[in-house]
Amino acid sequence: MSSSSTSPIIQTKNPEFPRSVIYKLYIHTFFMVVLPLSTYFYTSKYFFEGEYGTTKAALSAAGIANAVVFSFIITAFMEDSGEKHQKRE
Amino acid sequence: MDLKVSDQCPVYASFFGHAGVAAAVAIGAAYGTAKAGIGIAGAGTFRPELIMKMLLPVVMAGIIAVYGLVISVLICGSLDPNKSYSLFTGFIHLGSGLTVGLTGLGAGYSIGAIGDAFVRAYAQQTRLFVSMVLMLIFAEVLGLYGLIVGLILNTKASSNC
Repeated sequence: MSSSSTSPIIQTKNPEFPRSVIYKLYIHTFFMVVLPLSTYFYTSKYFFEGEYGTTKAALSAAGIANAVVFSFIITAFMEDSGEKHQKRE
Repeated sequence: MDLKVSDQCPVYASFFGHAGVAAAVAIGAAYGTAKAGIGIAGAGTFRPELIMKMLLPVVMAGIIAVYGLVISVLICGSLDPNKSYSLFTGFIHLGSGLTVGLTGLGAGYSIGAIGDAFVRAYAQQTRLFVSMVLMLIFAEVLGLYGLIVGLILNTKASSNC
């Protein structure tokens, strides 16, 4: 990673671990814990009524968890391409 | 109170339902996180800038744990001490919890093994990232299949005493 003295974009106290990386990680962890459960309870209460209501709610919770992983992959890719642009400049 | 006890709804039937809730715990996800973490610790000492991307197996193992959590919450929602609970429903809940737990064990094991080997190799060859993502996705959908089977089983639960 670029060190704190030469990079104006990443502000960090610890040069080996930029704060933006830890922040992104915490956000994804938080969403991974909170989003599936709240999606399940919210959709089973308000959206999906009837016979297969809880099943659809559980499937939507699994879908939301996969969406969080997908956004983590996208974040990792964007970080990598952002670094490459920095090095070329 | 809508509680009847008969031959088809014995008193001990809810034991199996609760056992199903306990069977869906995140043992596989714990193993996957641990094994991938060992690989990340080993490879991150040489390439610390790649650590954010190396954390992907840990996130995938977390999803396996989320599947177990979802099925446990689903089974818990239909456990009620004031309603009759048939032995058939108890076995259904045990079966769905065990399905998700065992497939989660297998999926978590494969995620751990893949993650460990691939992050060590990724530190040396960065073009391996795409194949790591593909393999991890395939390993994670094994857990998803278990969740689907557990959900299909769960829809057949009905308590006729």
